Amino acid sequence: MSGKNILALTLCAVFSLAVQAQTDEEKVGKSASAQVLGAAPLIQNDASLKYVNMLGGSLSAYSGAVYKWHFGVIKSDAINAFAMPGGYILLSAGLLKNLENEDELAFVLAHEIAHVTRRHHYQVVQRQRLADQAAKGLEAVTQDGDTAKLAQASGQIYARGLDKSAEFESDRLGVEIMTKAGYDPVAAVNVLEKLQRFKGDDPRAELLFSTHPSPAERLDMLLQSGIDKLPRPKAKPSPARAERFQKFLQSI
Amino acid sequence: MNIKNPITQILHLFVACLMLMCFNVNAQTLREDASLSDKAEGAPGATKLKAGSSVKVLKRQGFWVEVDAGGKNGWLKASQLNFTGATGGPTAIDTGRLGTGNIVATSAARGLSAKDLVSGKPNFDEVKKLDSLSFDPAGIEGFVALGGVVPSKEKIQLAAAKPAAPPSAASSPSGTTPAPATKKKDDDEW
Repeated sequence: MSGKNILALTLCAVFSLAVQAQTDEEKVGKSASAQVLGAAPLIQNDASLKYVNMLGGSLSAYSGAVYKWHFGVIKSDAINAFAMPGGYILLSAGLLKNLENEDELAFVLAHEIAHVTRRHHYQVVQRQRLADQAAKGLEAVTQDGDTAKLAQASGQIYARGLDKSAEFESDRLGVEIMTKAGYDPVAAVNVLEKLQRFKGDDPRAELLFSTHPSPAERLDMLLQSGIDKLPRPKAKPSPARAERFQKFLQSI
Repeated sequence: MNIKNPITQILHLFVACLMLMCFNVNAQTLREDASLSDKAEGAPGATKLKAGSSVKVLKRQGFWVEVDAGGKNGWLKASQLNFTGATGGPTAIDTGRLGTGNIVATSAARGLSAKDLVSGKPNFDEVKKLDSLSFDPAGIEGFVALGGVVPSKEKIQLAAAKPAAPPSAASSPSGTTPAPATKKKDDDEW
């Protein structure tokens, strides 16, 4: 076997290992996803799931980070979306049914992508691990192979929510990602306006409101960040874009 | 008053609903001194408003809002208003653009509660399904082209803003008492 062949085989093996190896972020992300999916399973429509993965994939190219992205839609009336470490993103059917076009969906996806790339939830898990270690003086339960316990610990994090600053940052980066990709930043305002129409005691939006700053506050932060100075797409969305979004909406 | 006629009852209900709609206004305060424009993205006109003035948002077009400032209608940049500090109506940024009928609270619909997430059982079989979902990188180009999505060539960057200070307890009538405004450097740029 020639030297070149050996090098090629070695590179293939290294690349393959890199692709196959599960990072700690992915391990945490899978456990957190399991907890959310335990509460609400995925919808069963392949075409819809393919569409949301294509859109998510096209946006992820502008996130500045490399992950193995997986986008799913869960059967739930809830108005919510979840970003799990390692590139796992779940959107509730209830939230999606309130959107009007692909540009609005792009903002929702880009906001969640930003949570992943900024490692917002993963950092909370890491802090919890350190606190557990300090408290117990031994390997924390969340660091061992017990994925079920890790899932439960993640559930608490998602029930509690992140700091407001993390949500504002994801709004900001999300708008940057969608605008770079070619979507209209005004769609972010449309989405926040829609969220504001839900009352705090509406069971569908209760968790969203208890874990996020108010939509009005989020809008103010985006406006003060200069969202209105961003370039808007010159061309109107193609009929095909509107058509595929409506098809998606009808199938969830 | 004893109303027995069902038609009269319906009429009274209709009038009551109309009144409720009229009072459910969205009053916001101005972050800075501003002049009303005669159209969205128009140049500032002669009607000047002081920071802290209260205006009623009538509708939004892109990043601009049409407002009623004490009887004078005109357009302002949305960034000139403080939405967090809205004083009237429960829906601070609901500009009525979407109508009122599409979001109805219903006891049948339920969301995901904090309890569901904390005490629910993890479902790793569903994770396997999620793991199998992804996108074909080779198909992205076609997906983007079909949607007529044209990536921006301009530099896209937003600056982190500071959270707004809590709104002042009382808002003043339009153009009378200027409230302390947290003015940002670039806000006067048109």
